[in-house]
Amino acid sequence: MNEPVIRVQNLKKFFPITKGFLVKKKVGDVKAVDDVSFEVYKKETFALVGESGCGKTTTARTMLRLIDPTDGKIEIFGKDISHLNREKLLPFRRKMQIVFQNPIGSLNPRMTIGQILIEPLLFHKIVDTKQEAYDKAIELLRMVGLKPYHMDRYPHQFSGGQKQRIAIARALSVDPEIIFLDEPTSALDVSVQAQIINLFMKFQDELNLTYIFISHDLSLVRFISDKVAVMYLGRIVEIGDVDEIFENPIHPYTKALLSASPIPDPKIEKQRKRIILTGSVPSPIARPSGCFFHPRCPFKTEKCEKEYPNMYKVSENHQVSCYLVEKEGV
Amino acid sequence: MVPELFIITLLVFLIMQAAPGDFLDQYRLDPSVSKDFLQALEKQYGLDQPIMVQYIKWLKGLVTGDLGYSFYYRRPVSDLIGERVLNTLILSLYSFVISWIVGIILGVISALKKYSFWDKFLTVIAFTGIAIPGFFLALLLLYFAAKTGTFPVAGMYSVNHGKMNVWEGFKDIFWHLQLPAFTLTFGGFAGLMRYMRGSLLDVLNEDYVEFARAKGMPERVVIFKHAMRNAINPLITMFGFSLSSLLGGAVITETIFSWPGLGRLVYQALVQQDIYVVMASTVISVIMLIAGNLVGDILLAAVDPRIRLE
Repeated sequence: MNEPVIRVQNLKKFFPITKGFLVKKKVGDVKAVDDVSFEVYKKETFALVGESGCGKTTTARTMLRLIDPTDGKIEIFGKDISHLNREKLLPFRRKMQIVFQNPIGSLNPRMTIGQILIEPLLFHKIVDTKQEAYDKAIELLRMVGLKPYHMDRYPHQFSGGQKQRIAIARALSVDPEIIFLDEPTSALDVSVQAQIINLFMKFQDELNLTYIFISHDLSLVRFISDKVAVMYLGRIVEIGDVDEIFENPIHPYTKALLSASPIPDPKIEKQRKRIILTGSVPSPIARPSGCFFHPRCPFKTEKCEKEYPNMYKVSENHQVSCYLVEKEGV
Repeated sequence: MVPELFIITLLVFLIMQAAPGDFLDQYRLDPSVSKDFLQALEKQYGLDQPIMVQYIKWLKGLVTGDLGYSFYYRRPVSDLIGERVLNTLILSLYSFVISWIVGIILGVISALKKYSFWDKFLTVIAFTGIAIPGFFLALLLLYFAAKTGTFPVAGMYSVNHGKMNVWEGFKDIFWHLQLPAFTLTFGGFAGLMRYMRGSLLDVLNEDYVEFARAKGMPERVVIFKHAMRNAINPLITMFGFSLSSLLGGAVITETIFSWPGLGRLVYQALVQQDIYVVMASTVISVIMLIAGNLVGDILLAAVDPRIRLE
């Protein structure tokens, strides 16, 4: 197999909690991302799933270097970018783009669509003249299904779906190779969601894009991703090929997540057993001892309370951090 | 605008009349002033007529540009105001410009260095500025000026101002200007700074600012092109609003520092029930307020495409 496009190794992002007015004292850390490692290959869609606050978005933002990592490596095309300065980072900025969840907040209300699309083109010198930039911007609008006369309009004149198309056009404008999709459809209506997803799939085919896809929508994740990582309290608890994980989930948290998503076939849906988790996510400031999931886990043992389980290899493309693997002898 | 002006002036006129007594009370209390003389004065000033007649007469005068007659100075009100407008403008424009420049710059610094030492330091200064009453600060400054002699204690000119040449005269006024201007600025910039800080912080959290960073834009472009343009809106609204206080916002400061401006004139007029001076200042404030808001709206439409009407 060829080299991975992205290789994240032991990535950590801690946000310090401080107290005091003039003199600050560090009293602890919010461990938003704690020791996360994974690899993504070209043209793959890699999904990050997990409930709110589990560190999916922080992982993505750290990988984009929008926030600086506390520790660990982020290799993009084989080069570690975790400590590059702004200038050295520029070529990577071009290669990695992001589409945000909320299209209303992600477009500058003071700029026309044309300005939004042309700015990065000229800045990264993808085109040389303003005329070329203008032509390319119109081409981008066509690609996402908008019309050339939309160029001079402002974001507030568009609907949510159209805005998200603009955000996609803007992400594509710099010819990126990796696009981070941070819940790109959750702010949209179901009918529009499908259009946007189809757009993503089309571009992945045509432009050989690699996607990091953050989502709550598990059926969507299954539909479009190749690999999936389930996160809980800043750590990946289960990672592997989508089919493996969805067919044969091992971590109780993954099982619970999967059992919560409805199945479109009514016959199967009737038989679906929900695993109801009790309690809520513990605070990322004071995480439980041992396996972070043990207070909510129906299968916990004494060992779970003491030691955090290592990553076990279930199969070639499936890893899980849970002691159940040993017991089941997989 | 015209109906607003009409209603506000009517209200002020009625309130002035509702206050017990009138300008002539100070003569009525003086036993050496004869009854006949008082009646003559009443007739001369029109104070013997019903209130509504007085108001309508004044309104008629206003339409033709006649602001009425000051009882105390025994001169037309328009002359009095004309003399004082420039003095007030010197003081208020000077402190206005400084507080806006300082307020915006410090607000931006404070937002960009959020929770740092400087942010906290500036915040303490800002709240001090908001919290200290203007008259108290003015008195402190007067005390300071009197003790140290570094600044003139009050007034606008030195005694020998008439003998100075143009440059020295300018320096003299400038020197007298500092303390009252500081009083006004200290109270004014703080609010602006806090507004600027809050507004910029809001915008810096927006996704499109984050995206501009992800595009690799230099921080300068991110802040001034993407963030500031959106953060400045509430300040523009305030700008229009505060224009209206240019002519009437410094009553207390002018009075304490004996600055010969409009504020002091109006204050004296209020105390002495010199009704037409008060009315004239009301008209000016109303016009400034409406015009200021208009200017603010126009500016806002000029900078923000979302506000323009198709």
